[in-house]
Parts: sequence; structure tokens; C-alpha cells
Amino acid sequence: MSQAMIHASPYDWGQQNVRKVMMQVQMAATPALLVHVYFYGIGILVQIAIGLAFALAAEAIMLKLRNKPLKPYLTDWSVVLTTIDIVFCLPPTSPWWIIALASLFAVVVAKHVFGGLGYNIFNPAMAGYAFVLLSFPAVMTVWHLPHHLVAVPLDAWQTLQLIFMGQLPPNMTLDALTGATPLEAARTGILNDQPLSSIYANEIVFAGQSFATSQFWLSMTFLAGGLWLLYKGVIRWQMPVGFIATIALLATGFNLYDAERYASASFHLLSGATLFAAFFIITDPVTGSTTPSGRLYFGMGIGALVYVIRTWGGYADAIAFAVLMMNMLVPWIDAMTIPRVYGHGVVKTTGSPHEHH
Amino acid sequence: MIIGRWIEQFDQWLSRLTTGVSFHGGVHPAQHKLISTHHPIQTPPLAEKLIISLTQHVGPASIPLVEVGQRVLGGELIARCAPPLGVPLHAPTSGIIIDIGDYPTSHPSGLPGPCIVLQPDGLNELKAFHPKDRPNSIQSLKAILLHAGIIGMGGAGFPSFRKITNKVGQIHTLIVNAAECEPYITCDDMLMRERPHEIIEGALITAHALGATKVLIGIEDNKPEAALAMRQYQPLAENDARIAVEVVMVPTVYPMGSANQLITQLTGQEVPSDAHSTDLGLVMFNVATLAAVYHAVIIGQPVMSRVVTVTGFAIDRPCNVEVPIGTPFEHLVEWAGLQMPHAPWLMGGPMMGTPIHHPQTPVIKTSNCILVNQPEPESETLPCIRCGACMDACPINLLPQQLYWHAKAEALDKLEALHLKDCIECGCCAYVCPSQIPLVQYYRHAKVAVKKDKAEKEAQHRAKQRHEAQQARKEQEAREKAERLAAKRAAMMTGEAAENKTPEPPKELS
Repeated sequence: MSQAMIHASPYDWGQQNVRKVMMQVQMAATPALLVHVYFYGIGILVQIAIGLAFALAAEAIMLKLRNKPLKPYLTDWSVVLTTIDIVFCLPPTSPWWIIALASLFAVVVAKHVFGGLGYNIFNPAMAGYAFVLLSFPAVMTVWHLPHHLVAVPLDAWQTLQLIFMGQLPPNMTLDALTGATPLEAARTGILNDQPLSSIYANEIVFAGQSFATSQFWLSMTFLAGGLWLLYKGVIRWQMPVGFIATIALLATGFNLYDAERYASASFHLLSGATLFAAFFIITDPVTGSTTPSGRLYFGMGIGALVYVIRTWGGYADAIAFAVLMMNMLVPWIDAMTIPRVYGHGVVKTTGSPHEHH
Repeated sequence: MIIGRWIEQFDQWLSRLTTGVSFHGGVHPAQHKLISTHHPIQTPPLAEKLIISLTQHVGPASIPLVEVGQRVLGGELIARCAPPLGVPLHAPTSGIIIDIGDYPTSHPSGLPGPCIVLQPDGLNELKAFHPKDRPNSIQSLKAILLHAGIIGMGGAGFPSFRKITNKVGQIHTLIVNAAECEPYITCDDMLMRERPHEIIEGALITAHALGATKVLIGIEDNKPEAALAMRQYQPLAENDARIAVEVVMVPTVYPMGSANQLITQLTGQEVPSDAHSTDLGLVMFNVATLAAVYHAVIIGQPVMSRVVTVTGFAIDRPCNVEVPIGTPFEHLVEWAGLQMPHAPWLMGGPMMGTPIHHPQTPVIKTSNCILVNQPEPESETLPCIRCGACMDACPINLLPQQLYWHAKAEALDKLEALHLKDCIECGCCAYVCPSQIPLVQYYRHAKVAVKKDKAEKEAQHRAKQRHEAQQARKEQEAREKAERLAAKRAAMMTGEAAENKTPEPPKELS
């Protein structure tokens, strides 16, 4: 008989642990990663490798500086997830130092300065992304066109050269390889008073092939991964539902009012990072609301901000800013949405025996 | 805020629709119940010594009525209750009292407690028991419950007579707690399979005395044999025909067997935090408690034994045994065969059990299970990632994650505002925590801190009042003294004045 049982009940633990949660999110993002490679080439894989190298190094150094054990924290997979979240937001052929700076900022400033895993107020991936977006706006808005829109796509070696040296193959121009994303095209078009129908025809659809095709398939794989996470109980329905429903409602309302100025709900949901954010970004537990209704309000708030910034603001996509702004409101949302505790707020009455079931 | 309530209600409705569970949260730990239900309830040989704890129940310790060296018969009163809250104790078998003193008990503190040690003589000579008339009033039922030493045998250990109000006609439904939601434990299951008559007759006797018209038996749906046995039993003809008995299958979810959760599941009502189930016209007893009522009335026999599950993967032959109160755990574990000498022992289930520090710890009236499993590998605790799994699992709908935060910061006022005291320490939050934080431990410590803080504040308040009263008294005294002095001085002054006056000649006259 052992005398060494120190802790109190319970003595049985469920099967869930932090590592598994992070792994499951990773797995859910894998189909989207494959689709990304299919449409944009291996750029994203290179970005992940660079990002991971910097993020893991930064994590290790910060843990060392903070006198924390390396092994449990380096293997909790949270850094990997942060890196992947950033990479999905970046242009796949952006220079190496962009992802390096973004992941460094995410890990060092957004995460460890605030106390590390579990203590950060701001979503590290979005903080890192916002940092490079604000610092280097020109680089960040140059989007590589999906393969089916480019005559001769870059091969692996040329991709590496572009990312690391900024060198394009001879007789190839950046303009031939890049273009505005659908959201960007819609925004600049509307600013120039172009009707949306002509923007779609001229800026988004090229020779019968649409930029939106790649985004559609990416969105679908994110949706599938997200539904799997919901099914697995890794994420809760309130955040994605609140977020998607708010964007859809706002978009539909304004679209009905003026279809040539305000894009449809499907355009908003299937372009840019909407569905990616719905299931993979705003569902970050650490920086989101933790109460049942708070989660819904949190998702709704991000949705509303995304729509407002996309439609009237200065950025084509606005997930990062919307998320960071709502991150600031989380303590307040949590305090305002404390659920009713069992037996509280119920009236003391003697029930009759016939009231059962 | 109203939208928030709607969302909560929608969530609850959704979960009830998919799982059939009427309360919030809950978890599904591995059951492992089948390993101990292969055999009928068995009777191991008597232990050499029975250590009968004087603190089996919630309330003050019982007072011994026997002396060392005295021979007692089975069923003889050996300790009387310390009024008004205790219960008496009876000798589980015949034998000699060999000691009265402190012995290891299953109290969570692990500290020894007062016990009477009985050396059985193996004759099992019993005191003559006299069957009692079925109680017709609440008072007579309470007297029977008290004198038979009946306490909540599901694990609470609350004296049963104290559960019942004196108001005639208040209770309309007796709920039989047959959920047995803790993993591994099967003593109630086996009791229902083998002795449904004792439980149902016990329930009918109780319901009749209370004037209740309904007996609701809530059995988790992982016990179909027990439910069948309970449904097939035909109550005796002398029962009150107005009492309807209903066996209700409830979903298997932990903590279904928690009193308030089972009430919500069976009646759809929530027990208000500032009230008791009796205020809703409900009273709940565990199956073993009702079997004890049956024995107390039909045979006239007090609580002398109970069924205990001896189980776990470190036990050779997991089983259920009926043993005299006071049987040392070691005796039962050895009898069932111990595979791993270093495995930790628990009294109760894995979710709410208490660690047993000494093998000679005796069975008490609330010992439903001895669980011996190989030690869990040391899990490493990571920081809370605020995932909210604990909140989704909490049957009370608390915010365990925020409670944890405030408990760590010792923000006692916040803990009170978040209703820490409503926590039933069921362990669901810690069970689902992906960071494997021992949340319940934090809450236990915090509860003690809140209590202590309240007591200190109360004491300070009282001291302040005392001081103020004293101060006021002193001031009063000082004032009175001053007044007296002033009066005296005034009197003297006037006296002097008078003295001075008298000799003063009337100038005008002169």
C-alpha cells in the first residue's frame, strides 16, 4: 500500500490534454494546407519551415530567460499552431524576414511578455500578423496568383529564390505573378466607384478563371476542418456561429440595399480568411471569451468589426484587427456574461406530485 | 443579459435533446463496473478485530456506553448519540470490547479518530430483535431511523432522521437514489438485483410515514439487471395502495447520483440554492439506506453491516461483500486478493473518493467501495489555456476556470460572487481539464479560506462591537462620574455660595 498519494480527488482524468488539443487543431488544418499547396505551390511550406525555426528558437530563449522548463512547453505544440495561423495569412512568396519577424513578434511580445502559454491577452498569431501588416504594408498586399491564373508557375527552386533572395527568374515580372486578392480588388474598385459586377468581371475573373476559385476551395477545407473540430469538441459552436452569422446578416442587409456597392454574403464568407478565422483564429481559447454566451458575443463582435473594416475601413481584410480589438474586450465580456448557477434565480415553490417529467 | 439566458437555455435544450440529461454538464468516465458484478454479494469470514468508529456520521461523535472487557451481543447498543444531531451505534456481532481509543479512520484528513474495538467471538449471538409496527407518523419514523442508527449510506453520512421535516404533508415524493454514478462502485447495483424487496418495502414504509404519494426510483441505464429486478418486484399487500412506485431509467452520466442533479433529472425542478429538497416536497434516500429502514422496521434490526464493493485492477477477484461495520479494509483486500502491494487505496470511487492512508482503516456505514488501482503516472500540470471545458462539464453551471484564477489570487470576494460555495466538488472540471490542473483541490482550499475569512471578520466585528460597547460604557461611566462630580461641585459651590451668602450682610440695609 502506497502512502504517496498526495493530491485529492478526482483520481481519474479524461483523455484530453493540451498537446492533443493543439494536435487536433493542426490535423484539422492539414487538408487546407494541401489545397493551399495545390493552388499556390510550395511557398507556404517554406514559410512554415522559416516560421517554425524562428518561433521555436524564440520560445526556447524566452523560456530560458523566464526560468521555465523547456520540455513541457516546447512540446505543447502551441508555437507550431501560432506559426501555421500566421502563415495562412501571409502571401505565400513573401520574403523570409516577414514570417520571421511576425513569428518573433508573436512569440516574444504577444505571448511571453504577457506571461506565456495561457496568460496572453492578444491572439499571438494575429498580433504577429498585424505587426508585419502595419510595418510593411507594401510587401503584405502583393499576393501571388493561384497557379491556374499564371501562365508559367514558379517551380520549387524559383520559389525558394524568391522568398530568400527576392530574385525572380529572368524574363518574369512580379506583375505577371501577383495580383490583388478578390477582397482587395473589390475594395479598390468600390473606392473608384466601379460597380461590383464589373469588378467581378474584370478584376477577379481572369479569362474565365476566377481568383475566387482557390479561395473557395480553401474556405471549404477550412469549413470541413472546423466542423470536425466542433464534432470533436475541441471548439464550441458559439464563436464560429456568432462570427459567420453576423457577417452574413450584415452583408445580406447591405447587399439587398445596393448590390453594386456592397458585396454579397457568399463573397464575404468565401473570400479572404473568413472561414479560416471562424474555426481556427477566433476559436483560440486563451484569448477568447470563456462563458457560453460570451463566446457568442465575442464571435459576433469580430464579425461586425470585420464587416465594417472591410466595407468602410482602410484594409481589404480585417480579421487581425477585429480579433485584437475583441481580445481587449474579453475580460469585460466575461464579467458581463456569468451564467446562472444551479439553484440561483429560481423561486422557492412546493411542486405538486403530478408535475414530473 | 436576457439573450445570454436564452443561449444557456438553448444549449441546455440541445444537450437534453441529444443526451437526455436535464442538468448542465457532466462527464463520462470509464465505468469499469462489470469487473465487480460477476458474483453475487458474498460474506467473507469475520475479521479478528472490528474497529467501530464513533464518527461515522455527519455530526458530533457518539458516546461509548460499553467498557473494555465487556461482552456484547450483536445489535446491542454500544454508543449513544450525542444529542441532538448524532446517531447511536450498535455492535455488529457478538464479542468482547478490547479497546476504546484512537484508531485510523477514513476521514479525509487521515487523522486517527475515536473508535470502539470489538473482538468477535465467532458465535454471532444476536440480541433479540422485535419487529416494529409500520410507522404511521413522521415522528415515529424519525424515532425508528434514529434508534436504528441509520445514516445516508450513499456516502453522505448525514443522519437520516435529520433529513425529514416535521411538517405533516410537506413531502409528496420520495426519491430513491439508485443512480450509483461513480465508476467502479456496484454495491447499490447488486443490492437492487438481489434484494429489491428490502429497498422497495423500505421506500414504501418511509413514504407512508411521510404521507408521500409517490416513490420515484432513479436508476442509471447502465444497470438494466437492477432496473428489471426492481420493476418485477410486487410490493406486499399491506402497503398503502395510494403510493405509486415508478422506476425511471436515467442516462448514465456522472454526477447523476448527486442529490440535486438527480432531482432535476427526475422532476425537472431545480433545488433553489437557499432551500432544501424538502421545500420542493421531495426527500431523497439511497437504496442501501432504505434497505436499512426495512431491516429496522420489519426485523427490528439496527445497522450492523453493509455491502461494500472491493474492486480495482489491482484486486484479484473484484466483488461485493456484506461485512460487519468495523471490518478493516485490509481484511477485505486480502480476502479479495491484492496483486500490487504498492497500489494506493481509495474509499469510494475515483471521482470523489478519499485516499486511505492506513490498511487497518475500518468500514463505516458510508463505505461503499474500496478501490485499489495501480498508481496513475505522474501527470504534468500545464497552465490553464482558458478552453472552458471545465465550464462545459460543471453540473452546477459555475465558471471553474474563473474560480481557479481567483482561488490562486485568493480573491475571496470574487470567489463568493461566483458562488464557490455551491461547488459540490464532484471533480468533473478536473476530469476534463486538458492542462490537468487539480482544480477541486484549489476550490477546497479556497472554501476553507473563505470560511476562515468570514469567521475572522465575524470575530473582528464582534470584537469591535464589544470594544465599542465597552467604550460607550466607559464614556457613560465617565460622563456619569463627571456629572456626579459636577453636581457635587455645584452643590458645594451653592453650599459655599450659601455659606458666603448668609454672612453677607444686606448692604442696602446697612
